[in-house]
Amino acid sequence: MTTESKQMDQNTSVSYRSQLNPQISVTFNRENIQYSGGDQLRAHYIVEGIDPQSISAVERSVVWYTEGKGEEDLGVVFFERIQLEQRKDGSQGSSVSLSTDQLTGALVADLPLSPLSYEGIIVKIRWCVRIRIFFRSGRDFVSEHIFFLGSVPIVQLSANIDK
Amino acid sequence: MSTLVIQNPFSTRFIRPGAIPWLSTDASLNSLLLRLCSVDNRALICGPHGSGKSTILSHLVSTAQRQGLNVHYLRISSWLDVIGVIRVFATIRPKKSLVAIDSWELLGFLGWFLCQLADFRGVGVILTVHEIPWWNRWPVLLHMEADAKTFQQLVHELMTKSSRSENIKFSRAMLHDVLQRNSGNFRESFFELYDHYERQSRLKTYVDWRMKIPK
Repeated sequence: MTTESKQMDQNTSVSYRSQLNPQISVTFNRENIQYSGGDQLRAHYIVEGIDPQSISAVERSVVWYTEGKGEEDLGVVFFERIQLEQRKDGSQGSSVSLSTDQLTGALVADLPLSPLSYEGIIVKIRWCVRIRIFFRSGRDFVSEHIFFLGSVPIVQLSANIDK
Repeated sequence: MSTLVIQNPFSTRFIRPGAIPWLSTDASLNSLLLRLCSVDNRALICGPHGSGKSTILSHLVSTAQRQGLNVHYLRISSWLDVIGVIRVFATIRPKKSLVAIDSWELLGFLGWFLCQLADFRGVGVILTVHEIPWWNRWPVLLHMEADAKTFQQLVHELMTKSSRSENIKFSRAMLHDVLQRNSGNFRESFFELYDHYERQSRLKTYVDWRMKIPK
């Protein structure tokens, strides 16, 4: 399944909006983006809409985070930073490829048994593949692509709704 | 399991300082930094709880960093943090540096001593406080006040970023009531809207699901 970019709101958002907006699509090895603990996640991403030569580095990570009204928690199960400036000489690794019009890459991560994805009311637990692009200008762009670990049902308010 | 994701635009990650934009019609971030220079690089940002002090401080820090300043950001959580502040004030190179400190009032009267130290060393400092301390001699860079128009603009900005928000609407009257109920505290008002958003998005999900069940 291919997911579209979900731009994160960071304090750099205003500045990168003034540039051409990158479009990052990620393709997962599971069609329904549903994984179990211990599964291997494989993802392939394409960065489009910007000049690849303007990118200085790419960070790829597989993370979980909590979302809600309180303090946030974060866990990283995979992280890799690739400096593209150092790879212009042709020593580019097989995991990232830079052509004239797009940048592509792939990542593989073994998923842990927990925490499971959870769609609660006060708190949610999200898993995602996060692609962060650093531009030579000093700006950055973050894109998140959600997938699911486990199959905890979505919390519903049905009891109140039926009344 | 459905692959539905309810991304609530009023979650902490979207409303924390630095994540929401700075909306001001009368002063840009650069002009505020210029104003700071003109008052000897030491000033206060003053305002009640949830009025956007930490947000503006966070944006000023980013702007100052982009201008090449060496910025130290400190968030005070108790008077014990005084040691960390002394360390920064004592070791920092005053030229080309700025210290941004959030929740300064938690230091109590120790704050007076630290302001003297900053004056003595000529350190550039921006502080956030709820009220101007009686002993303060530094000028107020900004006096924050929550207003309904800014709140509506911020809510609109947050809602447009959420893919499911197109089906959820908050009226002006409702937003006005929410802000009033929370005494002009943006943070608490956003959290009240978080609950409304969860209810409405889940209600819609539930209705969609019921409609799919054959009778």
